Amino acid sequence: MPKVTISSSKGLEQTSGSGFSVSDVELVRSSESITPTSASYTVTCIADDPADSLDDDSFVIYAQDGESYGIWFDVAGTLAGSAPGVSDFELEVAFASGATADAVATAIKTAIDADTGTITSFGNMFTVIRVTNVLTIYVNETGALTTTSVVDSAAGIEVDLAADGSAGDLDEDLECSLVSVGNEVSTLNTTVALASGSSVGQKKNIIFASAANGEVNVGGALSNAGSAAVLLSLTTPGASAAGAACLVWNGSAWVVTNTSNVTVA
Amino acid sequence: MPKVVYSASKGLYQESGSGFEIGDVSVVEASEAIENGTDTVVATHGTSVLTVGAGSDGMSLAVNTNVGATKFIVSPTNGGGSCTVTASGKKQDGTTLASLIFNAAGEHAQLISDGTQWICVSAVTGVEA
Repeated sequence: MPKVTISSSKGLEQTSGSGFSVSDVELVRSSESITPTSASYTVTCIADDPADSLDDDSFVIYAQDGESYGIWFDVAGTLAGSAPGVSDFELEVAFASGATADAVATAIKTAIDADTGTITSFGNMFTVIRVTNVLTIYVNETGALTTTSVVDSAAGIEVDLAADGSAGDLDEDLECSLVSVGNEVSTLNTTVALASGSSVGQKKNIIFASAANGEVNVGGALSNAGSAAVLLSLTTPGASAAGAACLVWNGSAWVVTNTSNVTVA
Repeated sequence: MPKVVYSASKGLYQESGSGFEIGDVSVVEASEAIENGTDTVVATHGTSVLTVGAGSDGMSLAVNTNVGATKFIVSPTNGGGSCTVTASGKKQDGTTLASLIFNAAGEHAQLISDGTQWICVSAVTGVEA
């Protein structure tokens, strides 16, 4: 029977016997570094031109589950309450005739932030960052968007899908995943998926790196202390936080064997 | 794509597929035997078997820059002294890890590198400081 040995002096060699030994060199694990981001839209606002007004214009973006959210403009309050009926949920944004592009962007952000009455309100579904006349609108719900289209405004406000939220799932075949979050928003969390293993005994280490910009969670078929679980998250997130979870696939679930600053839920 | 397989009966061979599979034996990784008062450095990979004598001494564990590198330190015997292993990283509760102190027989620690620091995922030591 052959025995395989890897050593710094001889490299790979087979000798009589059995076993697989790495004698004096490091066994470097397969790994990946990923920075998952939440789905987001970029909205580039323009000034209101009284000769070609934004009045009654609108654009539509989508929540993670595909429900449509329309933002429509009421210049100088003449259309108050007359939603155009272009989407599942609609939000009126008012500003003065001739408003600058920055003022239009500010008005949109202010309206979204203030709309928090129900769970489906704009302010609960989206988080807005404004830089001059450009808005980045993050989708608060984690996961890939089910609808990746947008409806631009007719008058020229450009709406683009910046990230569809699908990037960042873990590669279950790699032994280690180093995960960090790339959102601009400190309160915005992201969830990435860990698919099932393929071989009993397969190992998976997940390292949670800096969580300065929102927390990253890992969802999958987990087993912790004999109970089914679905989510790994940092117990104490923060700018200099780090944590790790060691998993072994048992044929039906990833068994959590060791953790550091990680909560299993 | 080739899949590399080791089995006790065939040794090392390739077949179709992908991956690297160790069939029916365990993988024995690099290990070292170290002793406080004699050694000052802990290898950054594999398993270190630490013998603590009667003295109180220190060793250092440098960061392994390979993401996912794992490190085991086991201390099966203790002669009444202690060994402080300095290691930069995080404790299991997420706070800063500066050192692991081995001062009793049977203590051990498992750490994983994120490429810049060690994250302690399991430890039974006298002090995790």
